[in-house]
Amino acid sequence: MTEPGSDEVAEQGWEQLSPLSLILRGGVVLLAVVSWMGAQLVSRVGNFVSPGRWRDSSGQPDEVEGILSHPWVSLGILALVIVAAIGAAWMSWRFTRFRVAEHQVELRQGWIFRQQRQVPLDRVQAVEISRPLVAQLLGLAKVVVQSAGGKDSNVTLAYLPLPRAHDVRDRIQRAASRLEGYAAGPADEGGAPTGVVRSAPGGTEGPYGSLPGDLLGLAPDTGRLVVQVPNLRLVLASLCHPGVVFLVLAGLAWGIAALTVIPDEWGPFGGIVVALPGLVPMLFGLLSTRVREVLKHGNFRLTDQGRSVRILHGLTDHRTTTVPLRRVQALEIVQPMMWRPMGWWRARVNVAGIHGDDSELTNETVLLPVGTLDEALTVLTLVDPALSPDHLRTAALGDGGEANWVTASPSARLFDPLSWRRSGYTVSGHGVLVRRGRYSRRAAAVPHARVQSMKVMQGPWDARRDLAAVSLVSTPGPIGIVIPHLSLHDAEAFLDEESQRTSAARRSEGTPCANPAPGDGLSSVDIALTDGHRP
Amino acid sequence: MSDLDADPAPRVTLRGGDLGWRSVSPALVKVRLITLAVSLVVPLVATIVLAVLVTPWVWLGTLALMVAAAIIAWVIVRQVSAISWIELEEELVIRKGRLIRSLVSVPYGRLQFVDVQSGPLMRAFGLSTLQLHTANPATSATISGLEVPIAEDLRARLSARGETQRAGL
Repeated sequence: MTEPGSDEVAEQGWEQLSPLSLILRGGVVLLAVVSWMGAQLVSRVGNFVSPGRWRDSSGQPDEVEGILSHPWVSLGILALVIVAAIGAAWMSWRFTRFRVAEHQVELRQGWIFRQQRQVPLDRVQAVEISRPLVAQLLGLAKVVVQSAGGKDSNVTLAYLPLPRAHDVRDRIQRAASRLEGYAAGPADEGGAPTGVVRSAPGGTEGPYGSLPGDLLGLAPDTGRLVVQVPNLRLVLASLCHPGVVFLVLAGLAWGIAALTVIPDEWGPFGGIVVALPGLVPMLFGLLSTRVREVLKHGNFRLTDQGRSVRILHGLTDHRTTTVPLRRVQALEIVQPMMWRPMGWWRARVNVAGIHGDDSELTNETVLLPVGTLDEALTVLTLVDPALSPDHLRTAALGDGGEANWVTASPSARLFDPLSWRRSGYTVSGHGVLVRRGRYSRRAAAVPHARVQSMKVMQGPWDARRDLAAVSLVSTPGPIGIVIPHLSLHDAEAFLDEESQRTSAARRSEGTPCANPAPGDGLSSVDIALTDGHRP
Repeated sequence: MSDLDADPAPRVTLRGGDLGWRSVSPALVKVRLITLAVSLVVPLVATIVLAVLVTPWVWLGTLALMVAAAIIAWVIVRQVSAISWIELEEELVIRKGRLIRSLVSVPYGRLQFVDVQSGPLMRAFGLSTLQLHTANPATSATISGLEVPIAEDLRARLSARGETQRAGL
């Protein structure tokens, strides 16, 4: 229980969080307590003034209740609770320390129960800065160090003043890339090719860069701005959703039916009144998903940082995420049917270490929430320069019959009458391209060197028609790569050839630079297998 | 489609073939049947008690349970005999299922770690389950019903190959 002395702290490089984070972390509880007590107090005072209601049903004043209800007593309790809450929050802040050491990021927490968590720098997947609305008002930001072990092994530094948050992030990234043996550049930014336009709209250069001019407050926003999504487009795209259409149609049907059935004396709005109760829950459910979509992807900007891309997003809660390009495992563009008239696509990736089951992190895998095909292809080829835009275009738009594409067997027509001509795959020296869906289209790419394992599946109906599906397993993420309804022969041939291609790709990737952290965790159990094998 | 005839590598097919696939111990059938029997005891007793005490119509439920048990037992027998695996040059391949066939091919270089587990019942029959873990937990490549020494040997070999052929993510 000895408090670390300040000299010792400075010596070892331990740092404290912003004292203002007290307000943010304890603030909600405090606010709730205060408002509840306040409400109680008001009603007590009311009772005190008119004591007629201050009796239980027997007509006798309840003594205990009576004492508790005395305004001074409740004021005292209120004060005690507030002092205790403030004290606890202050102690917890006082004992929370972090440091960026040579090999790890460490976070110490706890006053009575000490807890220390550390993330080895070679397991750091991404460093995110996020700014909830209240934090923005106070000029604070949260730094989340995402580790390969999933959410439980992340370290969250909440909260720091924004410039310090940037500083800490840069230090972590610098240290991590130093560990990985990148000689070049002080940080990711330093690795950006010269000649890259290093200006963001409204931004100015500087250590904390474009802070004053940057509306998002997420600078330093160096690096080349690759794509920016107008919020209006995002809103429109979010509304182009089958649920919205269904809701509008249902609303119309309800209205018309109600108007024709409802007696005239109910007035012209009778139908609407009848229709509303049925629609409200649906409306609510639907709107919440649509609104969440817009909140998540609002103010979307993607910048090229050389070895990584940085994503800035969030309508109210601003976040920035750095996705290291070498951690990208699979890429995909998707076009829901209703986006077709506008030619919009969404681009997303699987990133090692960012897990699909963690809702807070899954959004970071969207590299373009909605954009034109050209924008989507720009993003994909930026992330994986070995991809050919022409191939991707064929994958996105092709309707079957192209050379080099192996498509579903004609005997799959019965199971997949709409898209059997289109769904299929093609192989390049670098990876596999897979496309599916005729009206709601998707095209995915996975490099040979990133295929984890492969699977061939055949259900009873497939067996009758001599079909099989092949699945290329990537790391967990939004993209699952399945090629359905191939003829069994094609499927087995693909498995055979792809095994050889993936093994060749794995061998040629085995350099320390491309292989910074052997067995990039996902679990600490594998250390036994990987230790002593680090490059 | 491809020049398979010119291809010297052995072909892995969904239906096995002459590659020297190894099957798992038939004792796994016993283990699974015992598990099935144990899990059926409570519902069976319940239906019998109800049939005796309340109404004879519940015998129909008992009958349905028996029929279901017979079908599941048949499926177990068929399933266990369908599990087979083979160690190739660079990957371990596992085949499963008859009605729904599947084949999983896990390259040694992608193995994060290998688990060997066995519960008390499995241990009583000298069996264990080998589970391969890659960077995707959904891969779920498991081989149940390996004799313990075989499983231990396999795990040792897999770990060794995993290290020599290891590839980064």
